Amino acid sequence: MKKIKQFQTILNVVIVFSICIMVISVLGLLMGLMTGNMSKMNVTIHGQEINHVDAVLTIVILLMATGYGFFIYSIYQLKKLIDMFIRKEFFTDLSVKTLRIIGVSMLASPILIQVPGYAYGILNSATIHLKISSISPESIAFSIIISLFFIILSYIFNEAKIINDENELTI
Amino acid sequence: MLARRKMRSNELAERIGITTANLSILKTGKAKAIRFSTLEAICKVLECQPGDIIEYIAEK
Repeated sequence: MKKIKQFQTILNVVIVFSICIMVISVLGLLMGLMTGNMSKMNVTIHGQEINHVDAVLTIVILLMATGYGFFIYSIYQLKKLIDMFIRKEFFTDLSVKTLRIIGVSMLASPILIQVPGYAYGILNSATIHLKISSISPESIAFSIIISLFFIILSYIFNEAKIINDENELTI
Repeated sequence: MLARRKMRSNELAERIGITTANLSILKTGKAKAIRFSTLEAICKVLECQPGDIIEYIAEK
C-alpha cells in the first residue's frame, strides 16, 4: 500500500505537469492560429517546421490537441483507479469501467496525435519516412499494445468481480 | 417450514449461527451458493430434508 501511495503522488505530479504544458501549448497555438503567423513559435509536425496556417493545419492541430487531452484524461482515470485501490475497492463496476476508459483513451490518444501529423507530413513533403524500430516505447504500436492491455485487464477485473460477488453471496 | 415449526427468522439465524441479514439473502433467493455446513445446520434445526427448503428453478 505504501508503494501505491508513492505511485499516486507521481501521477499527481504528472497530471499537474501535463495540464500546465497543455494550457501553455493551447494558448500559444490559439495565438498562432488567430494571427496566422506560426514562425515565431517554432512549431514542427513530424520534423517539418510550420510557418503559415491553413485550414488543414488547423484541423491537424485540433486533432492533436484532442489526442493530448485524451492522454491527460487517461492519466486522470488511472489516478482515480489508484484512489479506489487505496480505499480497497478492487473488483467493482466502477474499477472495471475505469480500466476500460483508460484503455480506450490510451488507444485514441496516439491515433489522434500521430496519424494527423503523419498525414500532414506526407501531404506537404510528399515523402514517406519509415523507421525500422516500429515497436519502440514512443511508437504508436507500443501505445496500442499498452491500451489493449488495459482493455483486457478490464475484462479480467469483470470476471474477478463476478467471482467476488459469488463469494460474498455464499451463505 | 419456519411457519410450520412456529419459529421466527431471528431465532433460526441465531440457532444456525448466521446473521439475520444473511438469512434474509437465503430466504429471498439472492444467495449465489450455500455451504453444506449451513444447509446441514438449517435442516438440523428445522428437522427437515434439503429438498424441503430448496428447489430447482430452470433459468429463463
